[in-house]
Amino acid sequence: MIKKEIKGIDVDVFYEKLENGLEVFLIPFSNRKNYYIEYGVKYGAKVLEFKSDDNKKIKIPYGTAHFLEHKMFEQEDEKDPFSFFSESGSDANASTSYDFTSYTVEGIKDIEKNMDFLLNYVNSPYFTDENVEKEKDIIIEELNMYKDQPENRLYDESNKAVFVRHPMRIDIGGTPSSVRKITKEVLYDCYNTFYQPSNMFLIASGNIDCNKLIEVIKNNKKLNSRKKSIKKNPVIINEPLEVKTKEKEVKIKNLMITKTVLSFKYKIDESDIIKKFKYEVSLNILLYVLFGISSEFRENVYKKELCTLFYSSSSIIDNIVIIEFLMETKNPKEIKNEIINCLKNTKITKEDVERVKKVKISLEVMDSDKPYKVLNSIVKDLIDYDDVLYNKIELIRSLDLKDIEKVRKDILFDNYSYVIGISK
Amino acid sequence: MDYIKKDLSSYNLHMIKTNKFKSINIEVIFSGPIKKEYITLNNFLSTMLTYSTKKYNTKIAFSKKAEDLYATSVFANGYRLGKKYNIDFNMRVLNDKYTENGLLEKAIDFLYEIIFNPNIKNNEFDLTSFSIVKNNEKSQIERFKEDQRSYSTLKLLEYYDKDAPFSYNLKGYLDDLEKITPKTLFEYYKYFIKNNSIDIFIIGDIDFDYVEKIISKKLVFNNKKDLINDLVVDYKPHRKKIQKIVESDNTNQAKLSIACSLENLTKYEKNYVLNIYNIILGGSADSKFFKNIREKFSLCYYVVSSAYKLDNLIIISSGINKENFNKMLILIEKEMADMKNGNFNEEDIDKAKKYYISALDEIEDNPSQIIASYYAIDKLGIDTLEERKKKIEKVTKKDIMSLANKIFIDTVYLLGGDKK
Repeated sequence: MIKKEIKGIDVDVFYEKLENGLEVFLIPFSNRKNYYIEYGVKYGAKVLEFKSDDNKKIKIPYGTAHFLEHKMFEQEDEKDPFSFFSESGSDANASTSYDFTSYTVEGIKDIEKNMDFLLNYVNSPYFTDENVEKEKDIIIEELNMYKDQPENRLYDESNKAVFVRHPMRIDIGGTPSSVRKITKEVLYDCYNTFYQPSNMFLIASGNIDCNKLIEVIKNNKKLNSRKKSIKKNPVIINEPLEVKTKEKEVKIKNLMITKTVLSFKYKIDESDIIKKFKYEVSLNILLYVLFGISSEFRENVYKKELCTLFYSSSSIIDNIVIIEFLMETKNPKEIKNEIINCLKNTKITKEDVERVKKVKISLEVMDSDKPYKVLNSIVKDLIDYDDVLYNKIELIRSLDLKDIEKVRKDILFDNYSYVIGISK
Repeated sequence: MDYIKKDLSSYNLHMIKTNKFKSINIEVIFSGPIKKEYITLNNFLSTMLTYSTKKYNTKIAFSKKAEDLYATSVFANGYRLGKKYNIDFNMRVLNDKYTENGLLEKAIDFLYEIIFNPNIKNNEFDLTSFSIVKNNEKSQIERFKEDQRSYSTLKLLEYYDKDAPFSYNLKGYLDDLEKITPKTLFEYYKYFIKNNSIDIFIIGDIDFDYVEKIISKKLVFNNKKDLINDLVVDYKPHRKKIQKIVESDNTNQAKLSIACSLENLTKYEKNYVLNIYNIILGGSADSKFFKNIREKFSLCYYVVSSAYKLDNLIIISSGINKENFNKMLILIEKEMADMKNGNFNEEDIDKAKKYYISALDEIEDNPSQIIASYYAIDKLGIDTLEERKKKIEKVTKKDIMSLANKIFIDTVYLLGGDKK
């Protein structure tokens, strides 16, 4: 294991890449009771077609990654994972995003036993026609639950307006009809292609003994039986720069007050991890200064009674940047114009940038005493950058007004979609 | 972890020293009897106090002050405990060690401004802040229905017993909101600050003497301690015939909610047996509900039970296809009957105990949970964590079966799921 220090927060990470390609990160915290394990696969809902090991081109229904996540809990002759983990009072869970799937265990006792079991069950798929069929109604109820959540519906509509081809147009879980199409063969194809050690990572943090834990991992027979993968299956989504729909109004059941989502879309060309991170933070700082809790903008729109809820956020999806605003408003038109105007013209000073940098750094330090937060931050790095950054505080400190203004220059102010949700 | 409770005559100061955390958490807890007509006022007031102050008289000034204190966070949180209503003012500030000397003291000065120096002009709250907060409170109340799960639970409880405190809507009421003016809110502030009992908690890598000195100097109250002792909501005997209400709504999923009365539970049953009963029935991913209803019959994505000992209640909730309503009810009733008849084994009990003990252990890694736990020991007369871990081991199958015989389904409520 190699020891790496996360600079500025007194946290050490022990890293090793196993022979089969699995990357392992262990983050011990002294004086803790809890431990967290996350076993992740760099495969999520955005994969809709790929080439299998024998070079077959395979197309899969929407929602397959999420379905596969549900079905990994099925065991042929081993104990049911929920039942096994509850023997030590631990909690198991799993989740799927567009980019990755993860299996987690959280507990106090029996970490070695639980680690061993986690590696066993995620490395032994057991799909039958029968167990795949019975999951469909459960997942469809899950989808129905989300469909009745007005804010979720609004975001769905917004994604459909922003993206032309990207799978984010469709819910992570798919649609009832796509879920009905999933078969055990589809699940095995995906499992065999993506659930390979070299396409996965394993992270544990909190109350852990690194030496003991790495032995358990290295000696796990199921994991050792997995071959080193040869084939890379990059997901290439040719998403056009233009938004799909500029403006639309949708009626949403149970939405009580009009809510809108305004999204700007543009492309960047940063492949270097450090530049990418700095870009992301600069964008965050820009939005915080202009629209954050201490901004003039916010005070003004509340004062003018233009809205009663207002959030801004940003995300970088491959090389596409989305800046998104969610608001509850009685005057959708005016608030949109105010946002565009502020984003374009409001002056930012050096002092603003320094103040927000202090906030960002303070939050990094605050979060660093929570084992799950440190774990999540490594997961995010692996997904976003395919690597881990150990000097974030230093990088935040290095930013200045020029970096923030540069980000602002990249934004395409006319390339936005605006979705207005009104009650039905 | 060291804990000291100091009697500062008008309130108790609870100090917890631990080197686990880089931040220091402070909670000032105001506590009084719950009254339906005060809910909206309480929400309004607590939001108002954390929106602006006399000294930091706009949200911008207020937030910049917090940012300047190394991103110190401040928020107010209102919640019900049986017949009691609490408002906590929470502050989280980085330890001086990681920032600068005197930060904690400056943060406590800020907290002083928030609690004692509200944004008042001519005997009323500042009009600008007032109308912004009012709009936000209004939309918060209106928005409540967007969360179908909470909404249907509240409707269930209203049908169950509309006068009991658990059926009050903690988001507030529009009628009450309309009556509030900057003047009446200030009147209420003066009442609020004097007529609640107060506890202050502080946890982190702190020096007891130093902390006591600055808090007792800066946060001075003149209140009575422990105004209410009896928290438990009186129970009404369950209806002889189960009350069933079905309401239509054009949603994709029907929300099923069930209220069960707990009758004549002993203290031991409430504090121990009930937890184990609930974990086995529907309180975990290894529960009877999860295994036998979700996994075997594919009837739902979630079906959970939660126990509320201060309210003498168990609430069961699920999201289903409306067609499956009767099937679902039969299965839930069957699982509950199985609990009465002892159709569960020692392994289930053992796992539930481990699950419970894990949850207790987890508390020790989380500052606000540590505070909540000491608060519960102090106010609800609950055993310490160590005692609880020991006593839970004594729960037997017989205990669980006899508790199960004191649980009765009273009201079943189904909302929506009518979209074709």
